[in-house]
Amino acid sequence: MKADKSRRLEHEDYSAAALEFGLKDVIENHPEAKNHGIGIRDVLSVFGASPATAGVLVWKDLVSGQMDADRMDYLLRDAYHAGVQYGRYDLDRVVQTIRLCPDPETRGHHIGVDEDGIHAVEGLLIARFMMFTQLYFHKTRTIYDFHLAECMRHLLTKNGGEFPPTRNISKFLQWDDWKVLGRIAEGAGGDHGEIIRTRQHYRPVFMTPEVASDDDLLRATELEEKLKALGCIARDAEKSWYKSGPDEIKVWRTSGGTAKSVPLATLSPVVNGLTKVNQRRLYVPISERKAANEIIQKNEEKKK
Amino acid sequence: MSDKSPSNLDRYALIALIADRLGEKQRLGKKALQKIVHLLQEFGEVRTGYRFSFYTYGPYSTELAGDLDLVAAKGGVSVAYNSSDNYYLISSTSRTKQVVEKGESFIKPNKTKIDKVLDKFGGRLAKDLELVSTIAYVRRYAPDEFANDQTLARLVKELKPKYEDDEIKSAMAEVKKFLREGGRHS
Repeated sequence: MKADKSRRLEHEDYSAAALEFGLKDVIENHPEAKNHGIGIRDVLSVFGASPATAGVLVWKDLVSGQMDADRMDYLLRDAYHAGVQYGRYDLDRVVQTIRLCPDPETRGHHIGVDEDGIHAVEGLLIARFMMFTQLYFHKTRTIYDFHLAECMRHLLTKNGGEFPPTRNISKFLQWDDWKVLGRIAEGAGGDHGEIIRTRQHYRPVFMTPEVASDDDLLRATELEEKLKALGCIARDAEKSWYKSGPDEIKVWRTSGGTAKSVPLATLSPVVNGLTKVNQRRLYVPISERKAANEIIQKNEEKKK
Repeated sequence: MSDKSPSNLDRYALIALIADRLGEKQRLGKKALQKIVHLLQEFGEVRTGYRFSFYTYGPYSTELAGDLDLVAAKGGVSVAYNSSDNYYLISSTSRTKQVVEKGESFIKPNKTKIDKVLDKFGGRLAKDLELVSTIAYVRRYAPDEFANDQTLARLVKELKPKYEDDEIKSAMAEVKKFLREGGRHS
C-alpha cells in the first residue's frame, strides 16, 4: 500500500520502517515464524490499515491496546528504574486471565479478561494511574520533553528541524541516545541543549488541579496569555492513561447460563471512579520566575 | 482549515455539541461518537486534534474516549450504560449548552462544516458509521486505493468482512458523492 505522503510521519511509521530495515531477515528466517507462516508483512500490518491488517486486528490489541504487552512491560520496568513502587501489579494473574472473547458483531474475536481477573486488571489500571500522575506527568520530567524537543529541532536544523524520513531509516536510526547526548555534552544543542546540560530547566509557576474544571482551564489560558512575553509555555496532561485502546477492557461474564463480554467499568467501581487527568501547567524560564509570580499575584488581587 | 489547534475546552464543546444534536433521539453510543468525530475530521475538515488508529471496530481515538469520560464526569453529557442491550447511551444534560458555549470560538467558525457532516451522517447506526469511517480511513492512509473503486471495495471488504459487497459499494458511492458536492477532491 502506498502511504499518503502529505501526512506527518508518526512514530508507528518509524517503527514499521525500522522493523523492515533491521528485522526482516530475522523474522522471515526464524524457524518458529516460518512454521506459523508469519512474514514481515504480517508484522508490519499491525501498524496500519491494509488488507493484511484485516487478519491481525485482534492481535493489534496485544500490541497497541488497553492491556498491550508494551504497557504491561513498561509500567514494571519504569517503576523499577525510577525506584518507585507505584507501577507494580500482579502481571502473572493478568496474563492468566486474559482471553479471546467471541464477538457476534464482527463475527470475530476481541481481547478480554475472565471475570475472576477483574481485580488483577484493576491493579494494572491503578498502577498506570499512579505512574502517570507521579512519574510520567511529574512537573520536572514533563518540562524536559519540551527542552528535548526544542534541542532536537536545533540539532536537526540542517534537515529543516525534522528527523530523516522513513525512506532514510538508517540515517534516522543514527540519532540514538549516544549521539544526541554527545552533541548536547559538546554544547551543540542550542539554548535548550544548554538548559538540559546545566539542568536549568523552566520552572512551573501555575498549575490547575489534576482534574481541572472549565474555569480552572480558562484561568490557565488567561494567565498563559499574560505570561507570553516572559516565554511562558503550557503543558497539558493529555494522554489518556487508563481507558486507552479500542473501547474499554471487556470482561467475559457468564450470567443465567449465557456468556457475553461487558465493559469492565460497569462491573468495577474502582475503574469507574478513575477520571482522566487534564491538568494544565504553565512554565517560564528560570530567570523569569520572579516576574511571572508577580504577574500572577497581581492578577489574583485584581480578581478579589 | 484553521491552523489553530483546538484547546481542551474546544474539544469538550465539540463532544457536548454532538451529544446535544444527536443524543438520545439518535441513540448516540460511544462507538458512534468516535465515528462521527472521525468523519468531522476527515470529511468535514474540522481540525479536532484527535489521532485515530484502526482497531477491530474501525478508527478509534483514545484521546477522544478520555475526553468523553471527562465531559461526562463534569456533567456536560450523560453516559448511561444499558445493561440489557449492553451499550452506552450518550445524551445531553442541563449543563451541555454551557459546555458548548465555552468552546464557542472553535465551534462558531466550524459550524457550517460540522452541520454538513452531522446532517449527512448524524442519524446513522453505529454499524453504518463504522463502514463510512473505514472508507474515510482508507482515503487518508491509502489514497491510491481510495481513488480506484475496485481496489477500494476489495480493501474495505478485507478490513471489514462483515459488510456485504452491496453495502460497501453503496457506502463508497455515497462518500464520493458527498465529497464531490463538498467541492473536495475525491
